Amino acid sequence: MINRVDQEEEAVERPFDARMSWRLALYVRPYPRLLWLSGITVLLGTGALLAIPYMLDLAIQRYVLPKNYAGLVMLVVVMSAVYAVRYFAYRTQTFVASKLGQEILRDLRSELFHHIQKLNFSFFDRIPGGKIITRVVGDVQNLQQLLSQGIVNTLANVVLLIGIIIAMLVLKWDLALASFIIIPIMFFLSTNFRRRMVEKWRVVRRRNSIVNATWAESLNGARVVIAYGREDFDRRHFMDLAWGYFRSFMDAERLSSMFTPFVNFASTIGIGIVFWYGTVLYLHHAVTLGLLVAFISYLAMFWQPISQLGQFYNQVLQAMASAERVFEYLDEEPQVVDRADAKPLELTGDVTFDHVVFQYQPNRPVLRDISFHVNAGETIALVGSTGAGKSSILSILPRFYDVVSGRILLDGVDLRDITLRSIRRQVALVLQETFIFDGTIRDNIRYGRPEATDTEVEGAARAAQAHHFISELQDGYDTPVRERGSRLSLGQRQLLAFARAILADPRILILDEATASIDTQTELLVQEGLKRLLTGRTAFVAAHRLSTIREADRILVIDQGRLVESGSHAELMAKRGHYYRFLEAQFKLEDSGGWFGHETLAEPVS
Amino acid sequence: MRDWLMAFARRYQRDGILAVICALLYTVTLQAPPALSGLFVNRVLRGHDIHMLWPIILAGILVAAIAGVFGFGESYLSARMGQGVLNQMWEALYTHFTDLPYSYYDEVQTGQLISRLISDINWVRMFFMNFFSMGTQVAFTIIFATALIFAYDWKLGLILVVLLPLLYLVVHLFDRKVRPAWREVRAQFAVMTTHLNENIAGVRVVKAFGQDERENRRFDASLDALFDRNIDATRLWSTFYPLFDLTGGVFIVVVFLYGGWQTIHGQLSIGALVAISGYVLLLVQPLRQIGMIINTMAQAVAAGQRLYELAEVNSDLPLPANPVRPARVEGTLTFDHVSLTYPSTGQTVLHDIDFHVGSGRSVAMAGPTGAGKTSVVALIPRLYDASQGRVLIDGIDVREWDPVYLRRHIGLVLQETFLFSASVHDNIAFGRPDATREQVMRAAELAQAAEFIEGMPYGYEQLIGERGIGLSGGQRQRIAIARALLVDPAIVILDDATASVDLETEAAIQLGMKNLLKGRTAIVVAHRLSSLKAADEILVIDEGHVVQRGSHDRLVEHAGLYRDVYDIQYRDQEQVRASSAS
Ligand SMILES: Nc1ncnc2c1ncn2[C@@H]1O[C@H](COP(=O)(O)OP(=O)(O)O)[C@@H](O)[C@H]1O
Ligand SMILES: Nc1ncnc2c1ncn2[C@@H]1O[C@H](COP(=O)(O)OP(=O)(O)O)[C@@H](O)[C@H]1O
Ligand SMILES: [Mg+2]
Ligand SMILES: [Mg+2]
Repeated sequence: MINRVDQEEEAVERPFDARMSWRLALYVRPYPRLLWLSGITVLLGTGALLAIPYMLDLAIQRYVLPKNYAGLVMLVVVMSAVYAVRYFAYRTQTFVASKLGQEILRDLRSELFHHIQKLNFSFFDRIPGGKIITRVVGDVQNLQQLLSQGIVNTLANVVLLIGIIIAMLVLKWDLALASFIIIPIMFFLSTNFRRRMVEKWRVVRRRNSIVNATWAESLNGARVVIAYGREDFDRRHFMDLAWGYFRSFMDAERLSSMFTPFVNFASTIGIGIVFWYGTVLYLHHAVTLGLLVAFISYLAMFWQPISQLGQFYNQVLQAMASAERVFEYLDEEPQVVDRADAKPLELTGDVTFDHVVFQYQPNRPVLRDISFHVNAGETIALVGSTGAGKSSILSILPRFYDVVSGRILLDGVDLRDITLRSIRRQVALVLQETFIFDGTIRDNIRYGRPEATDTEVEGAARAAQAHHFISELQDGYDTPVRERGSRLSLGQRQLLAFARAILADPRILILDEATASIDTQTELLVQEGLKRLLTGRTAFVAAHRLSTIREADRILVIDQGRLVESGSHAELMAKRGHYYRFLEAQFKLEDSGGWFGHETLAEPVS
Repeated sequence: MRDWLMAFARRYQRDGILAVICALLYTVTLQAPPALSGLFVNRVLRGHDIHMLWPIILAGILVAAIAGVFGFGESYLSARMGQGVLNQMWEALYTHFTDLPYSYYDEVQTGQLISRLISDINWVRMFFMNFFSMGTQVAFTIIFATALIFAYDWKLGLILVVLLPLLYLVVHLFDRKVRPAWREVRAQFAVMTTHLNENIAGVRVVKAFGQDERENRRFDASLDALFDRNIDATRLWSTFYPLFDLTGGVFIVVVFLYGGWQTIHGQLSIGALVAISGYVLLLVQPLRQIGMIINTMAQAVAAGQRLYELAEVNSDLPLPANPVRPARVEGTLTFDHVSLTYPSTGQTVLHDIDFHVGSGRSVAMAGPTGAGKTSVVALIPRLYDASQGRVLIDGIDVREWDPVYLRRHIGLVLQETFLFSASVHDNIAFGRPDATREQVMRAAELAQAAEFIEGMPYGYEQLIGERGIGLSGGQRQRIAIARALLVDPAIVILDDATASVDLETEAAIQLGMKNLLKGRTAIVVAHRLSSLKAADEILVIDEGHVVQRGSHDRLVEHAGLYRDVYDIQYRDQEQVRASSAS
């Protein structure tokens, strides 16, 4: 059941590129103060750290060997001061670094979220929610380590490294050069190694993301899984994915685990060189004992940042795989956006479709050349078999998608010249699929107009015939309804969605099979309530029930994406065309006896 | 909780032990370089013993090679343990989640679960990956280095040992303070995830009502809160971390004050002083790591607790001691004075429901929105338990059945269609993953879905989005019907299964299924009376009571709810008939 997630995860393979690291680094820009502060504390802290071996040298050469204890004590006092500086610098550095990381993390998540809000419906048609969640939660989290400690630690390590190199060069440049000889060799040897690691960590991220997205979807669909008793199969499938992730992880880890020992080994050879060359120099009295001791200490310190940079590189690899995925969403261009010169418009409710062609996927037109005009205040019914294109017409009207050709005009203005905000504020929908938010009933009704008063909320609920059941609940309008309104019956959820649309006080109301799950009597009452509310507003109603359709001023009959008939109920009945045949299906239903047919009609059970 | 966590580690005990051993040996090898340096200074430089130079260098390289092997083993094995523990926890929790009752998902916030399963669990993994090996390394480095310092000069060693309890105090204080801070972070992280999950699930409504600005603000608010919690935790550990670093500094100072004195007075060789200061420098890194370990542990504990909470959620649908799995399921269904109160709201929504359907017979339900029809239907596959009375299938209380076995024999079309992001084939074969393409196609034909499926670019292999996006409502319902048919159920439940389907298609579906329904017990909920009028018995439900029952013909004869609805729907029909006659 997770195939979709599996397949779509084959994301574009981009090589590790510096541009992406740079792009990530740019997130630091809004925080120059933090950056400066960490820079200064890094310099201070590292400087203090660097001073220690030098002081060891001093201690031995100047005080211990000449047996000057008073001087040694003085030096130790200075050393303590240096440690105190180190303490405060290190402390500030840790805090500032982490804060910087958290700031960036927040900015990135926020940017990602805001960006996703701007993306159009086709993005959400394409990408399962679990995957989106995985990226905003998991992949961004993956960057945390890198961003919080990574940047500053790298900075600290690089500063430390440079400091050590300078110190060593100053102390004895030829000995220093001798000990650096191993570095380019090591770098060269590990090139291939590192390239393979990049690949492997990318696979790990992808597999991890599949597992996470599967979790998300399994949990969101848990009820269906339970209702179908499919636990075992799903678990096996899930565990296959999980072990696949495990294998890829271990595969990458095997290489990564070799990296540090490799660096350490190389460093030992470097130290060996110093021992040898140092001895030669010492025997020729070119260096003192204290200097060699200091040199050895520096060398020990020298390899630590290198080894840490190596580990950090590992982290970068993992994080880059995540960054890639985050940027992929950020680079997704929202297609339905305000034109530069779009203006808000107070609608009267006049709607024109002018040779509209529309498709979800290239070359598979769903609406072909639809044209009609609706005057403000009219109620229009859309009729047609399932899949004819009714919902599609109703979703391009508030511009959830853009038309391929033709135009949609509101009050004579092209939809694309009006700001999205002003369209969405004045057009309200009750969708075929209702969505209720976790929160109270009141919050849900008020969703489109958060400032509405309690009286208004109740008024809308009454009009939608929802007041009755709401008032029977223990806490009335303040009853929490939980995710997706799971404490309500489906019909009740639809009534709630109705109330929400009514309260939004739209100029154009769209009802897409909004009463499908509501019983006949309640539906009639809802219609009564609506009729009063609809005066002066334009309404589009897609429905299958005659009782709903008949009331419309005009009926548009849609068949396979074309507008095949339009007119009032009486006109269309008289015409005996599509509409007539469509309604005739009632009799088919009647004659076939519904689900059970005549043969079982026999003796009714008492 | 600790037992629960450790149980997962047990299966990777071998890796764990080996990792610890590797860490131990690695630590041992790490002690060699300072000793070699000391040797180098004393013997080669001061003793002018040039012959010792090469052995020392070679020994150093050999030690590095050995250290490399152990270092690799340690890091690889502990990664395997951490990852293995993660997978086992996942498996256990996955099983647990599918064992939880249906009602659990009415109340829970999915985002909470998601954040625990993909984020909290990671901290537990990190703990297992880092704690053992890092802990061993740190502990043994400290022990070895201290011991060796003792060997060089026991008085100096003693002074250092005296300082250790001080360190312990710092550790303890840190641990106590940082734990609650991380708990807060984890909790807020879940809040953020919940916002996100809900926003994504409801994104169409968000956009339809132009509420994206408000959603942005809401999400930003939860990000801000998360930021604040994180900073609280950071403030703590950034105060403590450097303390461990500082401890190392104190050691150095002590060594030079005391060791320098000793050397000056000829009681300690200069080589020994160099070696000792080397060991003390060696101590600095593990001391620093203590802070990190405690920090990771605190996060893992906070995360582990949240996972444990999930594992602790008890199924309030108790499983039978001896679950019944009859070889043949006949499909007789009895409601024996059943009442239902939803525990979450305390509302009694069904009162004394009592009816019987023989094998292969049918019962239909009609009634207003919120009357309780779906609730009746949900009791049959035991999605909820009756609060009073019994639901019997083949004369056996559903509470005696193996729930999974029971559900496999029920073809359920829920009122709300949920499809998975998978291919059409996989969605239809959902209840019987091993079904062949022919079987899937047959089910699709009966549900009148074959035609539009074949019209899609990839036919049965077409991927449909989450919740069946990309299909119209009626198409989705037909796939759900095909899904129910394919399980070859003894009992078919259709809860308003054709609400979004046009009349013509509905008639076609019903025609297609007529043969299929024959011989199976059917429970049907519908608003269109013509769909259910031929049922053996019709129950009219209102406010949780059966207010009327009988055959269609009987019900229309008497005044009542059924007759009222019939009149409305009949009036419509008559009108069409009238205009078609004219
Ligand atoms: N988001 C989508 N992506 C791709 N195809 C879609 C999408 N939504 C609907 N379709 C297809 O467009 C056609 C018209 O669907 P729709 O407008 O929902 O029909 P109706 O509302 O009349 O039942 C159907 O064939 C359906 O499969
Ligand atoms: N999971 C639930 N938890 C609490 N209350 C519920 C739950 N599901 C339904 N209800 C309540 O039970 C009543 C009957 O609902 P339902 O059986 O879905 O009605 P319908 O007849 O429309 O199918 C309604 O008042 C509804 O609010
Ligand atoms: Mg539709
Ligand atoms: Mg229902």
